[in-house]
Amino acid sequence: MFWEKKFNDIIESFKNKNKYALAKMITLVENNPDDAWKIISKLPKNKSPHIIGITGSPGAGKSTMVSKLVEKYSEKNQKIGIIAVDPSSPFTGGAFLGDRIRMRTLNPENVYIRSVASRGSVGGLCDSIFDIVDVMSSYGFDKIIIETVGAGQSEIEVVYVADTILLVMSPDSGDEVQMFKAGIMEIADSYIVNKIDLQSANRFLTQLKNTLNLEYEEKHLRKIFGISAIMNKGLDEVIDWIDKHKQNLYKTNEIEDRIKRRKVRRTRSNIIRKLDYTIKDYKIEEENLFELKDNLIKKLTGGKSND
Amino acid sequence: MDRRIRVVIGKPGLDGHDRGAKVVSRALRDAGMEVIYTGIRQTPSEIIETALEEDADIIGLSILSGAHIRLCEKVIEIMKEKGLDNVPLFLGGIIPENDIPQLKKIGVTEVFGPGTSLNLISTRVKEIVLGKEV
Repeated sequence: MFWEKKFNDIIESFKNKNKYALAKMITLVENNPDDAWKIISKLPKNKSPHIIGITGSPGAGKSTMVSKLVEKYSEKNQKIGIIAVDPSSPFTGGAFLGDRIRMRTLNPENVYIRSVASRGSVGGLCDSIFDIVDVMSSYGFDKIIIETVGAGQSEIEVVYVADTILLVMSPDSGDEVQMFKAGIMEIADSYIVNKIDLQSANRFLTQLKNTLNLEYEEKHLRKIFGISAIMNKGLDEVIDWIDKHKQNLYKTNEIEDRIKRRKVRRTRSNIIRKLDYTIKDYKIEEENLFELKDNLIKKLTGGKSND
Repeated sequence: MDRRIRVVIGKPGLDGHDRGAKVVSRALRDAGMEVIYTGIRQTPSEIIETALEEDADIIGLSILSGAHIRLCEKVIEIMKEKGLDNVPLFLGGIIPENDIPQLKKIGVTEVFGPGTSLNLISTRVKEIVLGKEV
């Protein structure tokens, strides 16, 4: 197989914690989705890192916040892997990946940043995200931070990948009606209102507190924070909460539910990706749609169509 | 194989004019590549560190300050040190014609001067990356 040679070339340096080999291994799983699981099963097992998902609309300050959080983790000598996802063009497949620009001050000794393009996946991540997380876990980070594309209300895939989810919001990003909508507002474990120095911040925070009514949800320890990432305000409390949230996930066994949910989603995502490739192979004419459907089902079920 | 060409575009040195770097990044994006832009005022080591972490297939630098030879020498020195010598390097910006032979001699694969069409840049970048593997 094509990937095996590349794999054999890099596996020793990967085990010796060479960053270049890690980068190559991620490319390998990204470019060979069908073989990703075989590749991953040959990698060393390591203790599970805490996977933290950071989502929110474009311009809310996700990258700046990630940068400041990771700076603090790095000072404590923790090893952090960052996956920063940006959108691919639906027309050309190309992508402009610019999140690292706001993470320039991070110490490369303790931090690895990988920019990832969504490659046609909707929901804020990319189809290979589970594989990339596995490769990075095997490499041995203490924490993996996933920053989503940042598109908005239906960007919820991160809930299936991360242990702890932070939703970054900025004041002026809408009224109560936005807060009532399903989707992104439901998936967060904590709500971070960034740019707290803006005049409108207090009103927004009050509205958010009233809408969410978090006092009644002690089990999840969900919480609202007001911070200013750029001015380095309020981040220590967020860091304490992240650790507490992780402990709580294990104490209440909720981590089991989240891992199970992740496995189901991963399987679904693999099937859909395979289906998507199969559809792309067909020359689709409108009048042949029913025939196409039958052919696809036959192909996927090994000849048995139960229409 | 679901391969995409990954390009790191760097802006080394102290000049902060990055319109050209951004326009080229956008053109490469529109030609179907995944472009990682490092931002302005980066040191050669920072750019190489990025190329390494991002597993770049090719690195592009934009230099307008006149320091292109010195900066490219430094970048290529670090690339060798880090084992990135097989990654091609291209250059754009204000580069006098006379300097091109020397730049190619020290290891720059291609130089695109002012006025080069974006189409030509993206076609050449693809050729360089895909040609390398054949």
